Amino acid sequence: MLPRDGISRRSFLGFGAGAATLALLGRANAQQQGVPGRDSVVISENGSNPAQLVSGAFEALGGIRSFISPGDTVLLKPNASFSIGPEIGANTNPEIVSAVTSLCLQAGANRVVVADHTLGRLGREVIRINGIGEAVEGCGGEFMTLDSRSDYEAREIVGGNVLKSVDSAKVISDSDVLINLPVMKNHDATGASVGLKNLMGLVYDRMVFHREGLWTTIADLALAVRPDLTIVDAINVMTKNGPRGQPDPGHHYLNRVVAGVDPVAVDVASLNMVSSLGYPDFEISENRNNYIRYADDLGVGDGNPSSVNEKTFLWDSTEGDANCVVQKEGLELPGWAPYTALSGATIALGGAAILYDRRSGDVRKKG
Amino acid sequence: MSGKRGNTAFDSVSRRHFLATLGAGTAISLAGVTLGGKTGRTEVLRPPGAIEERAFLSLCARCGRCVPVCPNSALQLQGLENGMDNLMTPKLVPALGHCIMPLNGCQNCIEACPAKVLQPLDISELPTQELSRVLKIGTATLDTSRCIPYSLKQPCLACWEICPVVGAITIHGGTGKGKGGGIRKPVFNPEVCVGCGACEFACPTSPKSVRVLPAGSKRTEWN
Repeated sequence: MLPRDGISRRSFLGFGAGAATLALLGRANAQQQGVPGRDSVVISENGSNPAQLVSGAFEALGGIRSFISPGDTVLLKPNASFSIGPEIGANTNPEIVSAVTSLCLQAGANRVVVADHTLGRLGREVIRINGIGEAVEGCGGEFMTLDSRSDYEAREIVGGNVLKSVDSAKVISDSDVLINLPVMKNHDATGASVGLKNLMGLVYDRMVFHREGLWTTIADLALAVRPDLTIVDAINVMTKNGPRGQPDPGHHYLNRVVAGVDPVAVDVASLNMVSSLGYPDFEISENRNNYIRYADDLGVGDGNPSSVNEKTFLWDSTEGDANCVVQKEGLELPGWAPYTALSGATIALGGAAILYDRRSGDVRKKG
Repeated sequence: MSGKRGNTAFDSVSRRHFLATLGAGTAISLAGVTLGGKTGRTEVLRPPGAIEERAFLSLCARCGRCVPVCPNSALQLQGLENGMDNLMTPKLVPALGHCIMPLNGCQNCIEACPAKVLQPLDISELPTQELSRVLKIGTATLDTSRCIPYSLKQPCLACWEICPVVGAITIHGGTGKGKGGGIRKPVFNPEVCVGCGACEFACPTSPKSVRVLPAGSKRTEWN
């Protein structure tokens, strides 16, 4: 029996129909042919590196310039919460973060701010260990750790199930575009962690989410903080012991990214893709990833597995390209000339002062 | 995070001032022994590497140098809540912050301690699941009557999410059917736990379902 409290009859029936369709389809991951549109969910595959997968996803969704305008401040929200190396897959692959940073800057973004409220209030140390800080700053982006209460402001949630407001990062209001960059992984509390759950990293007090119930509060947050685009790292999916993945992350190598504008549909397509490979934690049920149903019911996006499946496209990214362009020229120290000029001026002034002092002394002596 | 001795917020403290503090600290210790009747009657969570409790109370200079160097603001100097003998001695307060030594080997408080009541710990070669052989500040305990997955049958696992020690918390359940039947629950393993306090820091319930108690702490020897 599926849970019905808080879920409308229509969405309940819709989920039932969706699940039945998926069961009939067997390996029910994206198999649509044709050209994806802006409402589609794109599964970018076959790239030879993470940057190529990301580049392909942008291309499939109409090009990065349909998301970024020149002069924009872009906020990227990867999962950078865990003090653990990139090989585990607990955090978003640093190469994906650097690729998106580079692409946004190349598209004319003025600033690319990468932000996360890492676990344990030690942002700088955590991003040093997980490699995301270096990946971002090496590409001309800036990492903003959201450790302090002063980094947050109250944001109203209209029509939420439980939450009426949430302390969300101020940098959201200061940005023109928000791109959510979650990693697809197992999470022993919720089943899986994808895009909607990743948005908890833009919140100060996450304890209230746990106290009030993760299913409803994650859906409520999606009402208040809506990314313009979600790009899911599904390259090397952690299938067990999440979210830290220790001692054994049980990797399933997919070499894909999933992207789309509808944050709920992207989560559903990602979950479909992994659950169809035989991982029940990635299913959507009353005990696994149930926030999808609540988000669908609040109208955040399309949470119906069958309709999402219809608009999910596989995209071959073999041709894509995105090199991390180091854009630090403007920040580098100036060459020798200014220093020489400054030193010369200092010596000259010092000499003049000594001469002046001696001369005044002479004048004083002579009376 | 690689603070060196002498490179602390207390650099400006003069030799005379320091010796005066040391003297005052010793006086407080002696007063504590006299007035309190006996030392160590209330055990508290000490910073990592702390020497045996009676010796700690006698030798701690009460200088407070360990407190500001903690990068996670996890240490606090005590008032009179645990008796005169504990006055001005440091304690780890997981609700404020947790010890990050299991995370990155930080030994800032140990390096800052002039009285050497915090002794260096060599954990560089140990995998986290064996850390408790050397680093054992205390032991986390779980009150299942408050813990969200046990009492409300809702998902939580904030403790498991943050715990840096492999095997200190293991996950049980999750195979049941029906509402709440598939919710996974944390089980704490006292032998593996190092007592860093991360789980208590992250626990969302009020009051906390997880408490780190001094029981089982491993103390070092002063030298």
